[in-house]
Amino acid sequence: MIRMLLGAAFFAALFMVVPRAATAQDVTLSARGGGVEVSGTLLSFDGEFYRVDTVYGVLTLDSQAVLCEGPGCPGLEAYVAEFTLSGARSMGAVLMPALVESFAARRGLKIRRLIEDDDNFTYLLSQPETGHDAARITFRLSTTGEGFADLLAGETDLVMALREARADEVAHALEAGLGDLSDPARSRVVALDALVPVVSRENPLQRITVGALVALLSGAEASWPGREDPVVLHGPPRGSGLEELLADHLLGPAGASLAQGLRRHADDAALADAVARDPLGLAVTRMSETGTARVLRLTGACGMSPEPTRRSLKAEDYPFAAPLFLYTPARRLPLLAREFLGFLSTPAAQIVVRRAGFTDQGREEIPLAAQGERLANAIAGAGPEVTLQELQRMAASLRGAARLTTSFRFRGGSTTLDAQSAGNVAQLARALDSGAFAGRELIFVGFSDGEGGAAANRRIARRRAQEVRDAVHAAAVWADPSRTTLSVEAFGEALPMACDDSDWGRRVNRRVEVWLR
Amino acid sequence: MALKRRLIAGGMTLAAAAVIGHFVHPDGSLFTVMKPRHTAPLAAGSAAALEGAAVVPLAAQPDARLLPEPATEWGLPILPQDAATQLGPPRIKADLPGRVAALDAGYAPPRTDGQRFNQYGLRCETALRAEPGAGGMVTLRLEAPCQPNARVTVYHDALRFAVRSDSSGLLTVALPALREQAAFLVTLPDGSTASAVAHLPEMAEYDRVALQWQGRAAMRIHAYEFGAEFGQPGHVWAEAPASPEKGAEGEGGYLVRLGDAGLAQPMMAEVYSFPRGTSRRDGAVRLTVEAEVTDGSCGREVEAETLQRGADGAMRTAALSLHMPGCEAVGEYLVLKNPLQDLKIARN
Repeated sequence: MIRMLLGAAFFAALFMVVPRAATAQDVTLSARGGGVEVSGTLLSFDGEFYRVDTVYGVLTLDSQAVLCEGPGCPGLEAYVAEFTLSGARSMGAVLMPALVESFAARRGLKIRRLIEDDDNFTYLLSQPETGHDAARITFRLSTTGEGFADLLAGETDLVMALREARADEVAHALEAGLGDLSDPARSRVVALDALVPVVSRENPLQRITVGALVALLSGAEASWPGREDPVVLHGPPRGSGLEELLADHLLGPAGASLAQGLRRHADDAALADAVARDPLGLAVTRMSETGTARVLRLTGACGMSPEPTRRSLKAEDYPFAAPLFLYTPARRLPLLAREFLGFLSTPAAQIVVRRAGFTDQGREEIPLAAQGERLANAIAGAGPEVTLQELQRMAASLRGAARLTTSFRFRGGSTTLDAQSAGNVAQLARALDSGAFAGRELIFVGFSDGEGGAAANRRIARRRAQEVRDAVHAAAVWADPSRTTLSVEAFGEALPMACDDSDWGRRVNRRVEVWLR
Repeated sequence: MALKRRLIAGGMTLAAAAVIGHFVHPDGSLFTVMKPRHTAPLAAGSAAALEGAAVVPLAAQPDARLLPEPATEWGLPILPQDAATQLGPPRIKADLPGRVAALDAGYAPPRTDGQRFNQYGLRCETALRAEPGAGGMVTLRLEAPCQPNARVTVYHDALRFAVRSDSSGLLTVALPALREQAAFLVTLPDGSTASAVAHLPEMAEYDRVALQWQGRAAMRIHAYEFGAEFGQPGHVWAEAPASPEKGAEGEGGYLVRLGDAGLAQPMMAEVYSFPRGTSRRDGAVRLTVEAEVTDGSCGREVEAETLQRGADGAMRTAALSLHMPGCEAVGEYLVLKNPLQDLKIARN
């Protein structure tokens, strides 16, 4: 731990988080009440805390509690929070700037955007009364991979990522003293998105199976299903986050890779527009940027067809979710940057996310009446394994309750929550802390895939539901346990959401839902 | 339609005349206008107005090229500058108001504001009317008979631009309203203002974005509707602006360019409108901002503002500084896709 902190300190001293004027200067910090006094070399000041190298080691002191004297003292007024966001263009073009602008506007700060070009720009936030600059927030837009590379090189403070950090990126960051990027504390989901296949509006095709889509994307199949017309594949720029998502979620699991001879486009908007113009065109893109193209509905081999909607993305019922992440290194960011990160999980930020064309993470309730397709699936799947009695028990125990969009899903084959679900634990705990469910009952309902026996599946589902309930309970430190009942229920494979014949289908089915009564 | 008018107090025209009242005599000597031959009460007023005029920022001052030439023959005694427009009641030098006031406590001196006339005998009153039109457009009609060829700055919400009135002080300008209850304000070189409001219920059907800038920067909005490419139908910009009528029929968006680039310090704006409510298509409208690299702008910062709907649905202004490429790139364009967010249209 200490080694990591020292490592972070070393990095902080080396790179840009340190205001240049404050480097290697002597300061004396004395407690405002008098008594304690320490002297040393000021390593950094982030607008809130002094980090001082003293004979006792590196100390971090709250600037509110101490007085600073000496040539190295930064002016509190003159302090300008500087930080950089680097990474995915799809995230940095509209979404993150809109969030910065909204954050600054709510703070009453004056905003000016200094533009070098579309990929390099800086927000200058200043106090309207005094004209003092409060922050300089720099954006560098490229790809997710470049963003992580910038983090390793000390050229950015935050990474905008369309995917989770890869194993090699995690290893390099650990080596560089930036902390464990795979730790949920190092990343947060800013907005939700998903991969969707798109075609021109002139294309008569409405649905496609995942298998047929993969065959077309990999070039194994060259013409449209049931037609002789050739498929013209369009794609994102080489090395983009979208291409990585395609490989990770769609092609990789099927052992396929993207076909050669794909027509590549400069950005996601150009990709969607090109497909919209090409009657034979096909591409997989992000749901937030389908432009004028039409979304092709995906189906599983058994006919179940999860639809990409705002609610199904929030509930992770759509299998090809692609949330947008912000990664932070394990070092103290300027106060204003930390406050900005705090702003991202507020309801105000969710409105901005939605306005920017992405799916927000605001919690919604889905009444039983709006779940007809799911119930139809359940009835269709009833038989010797899932009996009518079991379905009736489910209907009875969920009567009068509504499903929250907050759901929990697990990484392939494990009991570890995936990234979006890990964020959901904290989000649900915050809601409990704030008394959002006071006087009501939260039911954690476990479901499983259809592999194996029904009784065993029900046991597994119940254990998962208990684990999630316990995790939420542990995270909600301020919640009054007498005000909200947290109960557990399990129905195993009774309510399938996707076909069990594929990895992605089973992953969608293995879940813990939260119902509110 | 509610009309509000406000004329600035009497000394202001006089003040403007005094500010510009330094001429160079043909013989080369600096020739200053004689001390005004006003009576005492007016002189006090003009001094106050002069003080006021001294703090007017340079940008707000009237365009010198547009001001009427002094009508006097050189060499002849010069009349006070406001004499031509002073056709109201003759001034009584013997301080009649003062003397009458001493006799009658209820006496108020006659108001002479608004009772001046121009050379055609029209009252010097500034009037503004706002008429709603198709496509959420409003036609502003300004009458300022005593201020011909004047720089008129129009303000509406956060939008602002400067145009020039004609030789009879008339101005007609059509602009897209940015709200249902739209208020308009114009300011004139003499500091007088006029305002008008219009109600545009159909305004809610429109998505609008605007770009505005000051100075000689060559900037444009380009809108590419539903996948249109440059020069194709559906590419809407200053050189293919489409019409508000087309917008009203749900065919597509239209662009209005506002401001007079020929003024000394131009204030320009472009507004793109898309009829979201009546659109017959759905998809995306891509919006880009284009700035031409010119001899005047190369290697410099160019300031501009964008107006677009914020998260709360209200129009929000964002200040931009564009770092223009160096002068070797003169004639090229800086094209920015991100300052204006694309419109996503879902058909009802």
